[in-house]
Amino acid sequence: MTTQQLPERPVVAVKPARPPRSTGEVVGAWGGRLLPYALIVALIIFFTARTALFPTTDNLLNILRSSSTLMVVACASTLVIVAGSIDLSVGAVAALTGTIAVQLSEHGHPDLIWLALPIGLACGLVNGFLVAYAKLPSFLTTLGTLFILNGLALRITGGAAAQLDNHTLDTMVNSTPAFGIANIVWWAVMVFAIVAVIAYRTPFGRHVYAIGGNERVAALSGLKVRRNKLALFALSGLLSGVAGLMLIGVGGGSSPGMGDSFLLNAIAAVVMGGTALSGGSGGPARTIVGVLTLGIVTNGMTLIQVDPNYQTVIFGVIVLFAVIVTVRRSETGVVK
Amino acid sequence: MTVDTLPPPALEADGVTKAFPGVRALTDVSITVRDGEVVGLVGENGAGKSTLLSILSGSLSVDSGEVRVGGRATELASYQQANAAGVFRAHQDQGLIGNLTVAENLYLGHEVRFTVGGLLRTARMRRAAAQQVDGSQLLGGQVDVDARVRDLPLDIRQLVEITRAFAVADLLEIGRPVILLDETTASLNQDEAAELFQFVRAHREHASFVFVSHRLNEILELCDRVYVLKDGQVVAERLAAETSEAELHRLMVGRERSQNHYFEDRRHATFGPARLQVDGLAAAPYFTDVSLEIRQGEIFALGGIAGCGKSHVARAIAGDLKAHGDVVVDGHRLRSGDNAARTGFIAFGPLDRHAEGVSLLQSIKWNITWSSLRSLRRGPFLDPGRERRAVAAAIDRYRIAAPDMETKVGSLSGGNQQKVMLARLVASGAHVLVLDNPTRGVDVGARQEIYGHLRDLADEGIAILVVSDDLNELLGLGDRVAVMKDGRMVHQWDQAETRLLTEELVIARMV
Repeated sequence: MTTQQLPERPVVAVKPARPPRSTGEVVGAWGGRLLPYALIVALIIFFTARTALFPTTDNLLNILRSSSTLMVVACASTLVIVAGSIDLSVGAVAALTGTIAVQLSEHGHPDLIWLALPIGLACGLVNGFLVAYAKLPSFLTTLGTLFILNGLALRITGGAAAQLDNHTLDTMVNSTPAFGIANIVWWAVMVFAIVAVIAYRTPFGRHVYAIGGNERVAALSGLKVRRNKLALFALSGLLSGVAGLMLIGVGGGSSPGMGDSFLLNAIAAVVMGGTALSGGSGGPARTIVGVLTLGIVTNGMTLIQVDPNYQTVIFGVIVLFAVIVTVRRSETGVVK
Repeated sequence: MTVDTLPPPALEADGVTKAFPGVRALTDVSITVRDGEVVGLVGENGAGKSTLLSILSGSLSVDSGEVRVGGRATELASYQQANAAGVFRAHQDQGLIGNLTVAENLYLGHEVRFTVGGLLRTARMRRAAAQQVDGSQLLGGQVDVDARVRDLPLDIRQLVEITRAFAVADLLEIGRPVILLDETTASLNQDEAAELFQFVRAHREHASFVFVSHRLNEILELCDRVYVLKDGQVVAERLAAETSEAELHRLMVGRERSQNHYFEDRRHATFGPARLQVDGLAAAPYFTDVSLEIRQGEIFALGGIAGCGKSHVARAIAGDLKAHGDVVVDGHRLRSGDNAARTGFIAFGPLDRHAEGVSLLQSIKWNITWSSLRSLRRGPFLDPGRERRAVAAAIDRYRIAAPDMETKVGSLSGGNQQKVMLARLVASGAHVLVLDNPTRGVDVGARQEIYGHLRDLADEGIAILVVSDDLNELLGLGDRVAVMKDGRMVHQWDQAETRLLTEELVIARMV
């Protein structure tokens, strides 16, 4: 039989009705998305009730400002985690790039602070090469580079804090051109926008989700898994370099261990937003919620003068609570 | 068997109903397994067979109704409790833990029987396991109890599963166990399946069986009685001696299997020029010197017994396995070991759908467009509208039954998952499809739909290589058929010969 003589087959579009959902399911489906926002609202109401210092414009702007650097680091971490890997070196890259930038500026090369960006990129490329091409597990690879980069940063400064006097960077980070919002906040917004577009609207972003969902399927689908992973870690390094500049811009210098808090806070923010560590789901839009939650809690607890030693405990409880409400267990199946 | 000689019931489900969020899996299901009986359970994917087995073996609870073991209502709250009551299940795929040894798997969950003062007496467990393995007709001598299960081939793992059921029954001193065999033959070759059947027959003296299979001929061969499940209900009960494959099929899907099951009438008489040329392909130690040519619009079927190397040939052609020799598509020579999907020339549908074919936790939409994102861009960015339209068109074309395109692929039936994969392969724009057992674990109705889709694709001029373990599929689907044995292609039948080919002729070349 030739092609022309084929019998006509009826074309039937089968679209069965959506099966009725139980109440629990509807609450679950929406709850998973809305509860993190509800948590933010609850925290705002709580702190507002406790102190008049909290709901002022100045304080809210302050929260945004102090969350900005974490936002940039968390954006980088989000994509890596979506791909099913992890980058533990983000804080160390920020510390090293920031330290180098301060040293360059203070030793007569104020224009070379931008080298922080290619240095961050290079750190990311090393991570990416080791993970994608040498096939080392990302957890161990970046644990190794975390130590190495932290050590280098300490070596450079001899473990001492260093002042930064760089007018250009200071303006770019700290001045408040519009609505009283500091430039650093706009940096974070810009980085978020770029990362969100990459994640949601580019083939590369979708490939990241494919790799996190099932790497074998991604490879057999013709995706360049290794090259994508390399690019991903490179991006993570580059954004950590940006965070390094933000750190020294805000702090007016470098100090040993200045990047230390970012690693765990970034992972906490990503997971609180609902991005699963197993990869393949979530995204930067969710991470924003996690970052803001952490920012509000830190700020509010300080304002109502919680004993700093208890702050960490409460912080941990809130992280756990947020993870409980956002992790969609039904989708994850096996939890490790 | 007349009424007054009926043996007592060993295992019963009485009016069992079970619902999951949004779907009623079982409605008022009653079945009886009598002592020493082999009972078949058939139904399309999603008919409720697995749910029923899970309830009978204690891994799911009932919403209403009851399970009776040996005539007594028994609450089976866990698989361990089911074991204690005398019910065992040999799982389809994932019943064993890969990084544990055969011995450790055999007695998983029952280690306490081998402990003294809280410490596990490994030697004692290994001795007991060795006794079971060596004494088993199925495994006799073939398997080392210290081997890690992940190092064993799939078929041997399946046999270990069955041995486990009997080993635990012995351990718990269950005299007359009920063994649930869940799609046990799916990963066995024909010899092993025949051996399994012998084994089952030999053990009916002191055991009863429930046997689930997609292969109706096996059901009729092995079972005394058959229950047909459809949409979560028992729609028929037949004595195997008094029914036929055709009747069972009709009961399962509500229609007769058409004579033209593989759309043989849509075979082309003539084909276009060569599309895929494979010359002297070799990948040690799997296969050597494989040459074939597939023309535009042609379906080339490749068969052979397990281990003959046919799946490796498929992977090598698709660039997923490094090989020597030439693979040429439309005149372009492909680099060996370079994933051919990347070049857009060849799309590959692998054997293991869950591990390699689809991403279960992600949506239908994403799964379908992984390979064609580039063509769905506007500038550097994805165009969501265009993507949705492309996916909606694919869902219509392949008749993928799902609430919407955001549905997770893992919640679809096997047939619909396979259609999602097929949609992705075609969307990649490849002119050659390489499919390893494209209807494995797909129910009969959806299977025929897939055959229809393959004919459609052939009509469009795509060259298709189908590797299959199913003889009827090879003969029914292939425009030409070839057979491999011990890593070599031992015979190719030309187009005219293929039309006259019989199962016997093919088997004669395979063994």
